[in-house]
Amino acid sequence: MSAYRLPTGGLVDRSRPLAFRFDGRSMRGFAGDTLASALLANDQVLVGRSFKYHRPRGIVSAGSSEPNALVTIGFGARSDPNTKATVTELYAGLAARSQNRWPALSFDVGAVTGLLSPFLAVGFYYKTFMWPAAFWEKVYEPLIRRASGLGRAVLEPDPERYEKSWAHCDLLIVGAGPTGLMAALTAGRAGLRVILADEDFRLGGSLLSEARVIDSVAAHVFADRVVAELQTLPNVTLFPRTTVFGWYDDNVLGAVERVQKHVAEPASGTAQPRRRRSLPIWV
Amino acid sequence: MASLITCPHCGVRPKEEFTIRGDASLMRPAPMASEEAWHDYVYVRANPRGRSFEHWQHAAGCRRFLVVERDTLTHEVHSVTDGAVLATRSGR
Repeated sequence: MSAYRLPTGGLVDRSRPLAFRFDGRSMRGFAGDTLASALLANDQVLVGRSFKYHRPRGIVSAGSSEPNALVTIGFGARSDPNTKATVTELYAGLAARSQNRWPALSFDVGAVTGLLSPFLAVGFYYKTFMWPAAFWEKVYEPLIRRASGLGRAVLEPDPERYEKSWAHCDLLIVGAGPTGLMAALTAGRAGLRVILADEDFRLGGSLLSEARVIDSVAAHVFADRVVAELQTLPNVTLFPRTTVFGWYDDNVLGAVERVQKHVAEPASGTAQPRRRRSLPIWV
Repeated sequence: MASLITCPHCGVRPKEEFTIRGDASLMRPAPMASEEAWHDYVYVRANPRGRSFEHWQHAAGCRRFLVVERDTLTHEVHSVTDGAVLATRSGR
């Protein structure tokens, strides 16, 4: 497989290998990988270039706080720029591209400013690119536009369908870590209408990386058991891949569910036509 | 703005179902009133900080015009009354 992949451990399913591409190169990961973990397993440490000076950048976090590993996922009209590799669920056929590099990630012309940096004052470009005035539109601006910025927005019309729907509950729990799971279990057993939302594709939060044992099983197995019991409760609704982003007047909260972001082509049937669902939750 | 409005006919509904139709505290001047009175009625608005009365139409529900008394500072909704009921009660 790969020299950087351990033979055991972690939460990946080694019986289900997945092929994906990064900057056109074929790579392999497993079901349960994030794009970030799959890239690291393939010895892809350099994943992007910094915003301004094109310095090499690698993965620094394991979650949605990732500042560096921003990639473009998909082709054509279905491209999603500035997607965090650390929260992207790996799927078969995923195509990711690094951003803000030219002509290539490993050899970047813009990075030459890094070599010159001892001679360049802070903000030198504000002064240097002023003169002659006629150069601005033709030379400087196209150059600077190419040098800075991250992913590129798609110009084609969006082929996806989106949906908005209301959800109602007595108790909304944001985050399915140990506290969230226990709160959902207690309230669910007591008969409350509970919504448990988590931005990850697998529920468990810190239990997924916890090495200790709970109830004489591994922490992630314990999380799976709690999730399995929650799934049997009709008054509990689980929303994985759902980010709750705002708390508004009258206890209305806004959430966005990535319904079919973890598949290459969204299913064309009418059952789940949407790629993303915005979800006001009324508690 | 509050997220929910209690319609007297339909119950508690999200504010997206309603459309604002302007200040409800204005009184229409007589047809032959002065130009200043008509100018004030058509163009001049107080934009109050605090309690205000507004017409909201329940466009995605009963389609009635409602008078919503709300606080622009605290976002609190104090009362929601059907416009016709309010007009009859105040003898307009």
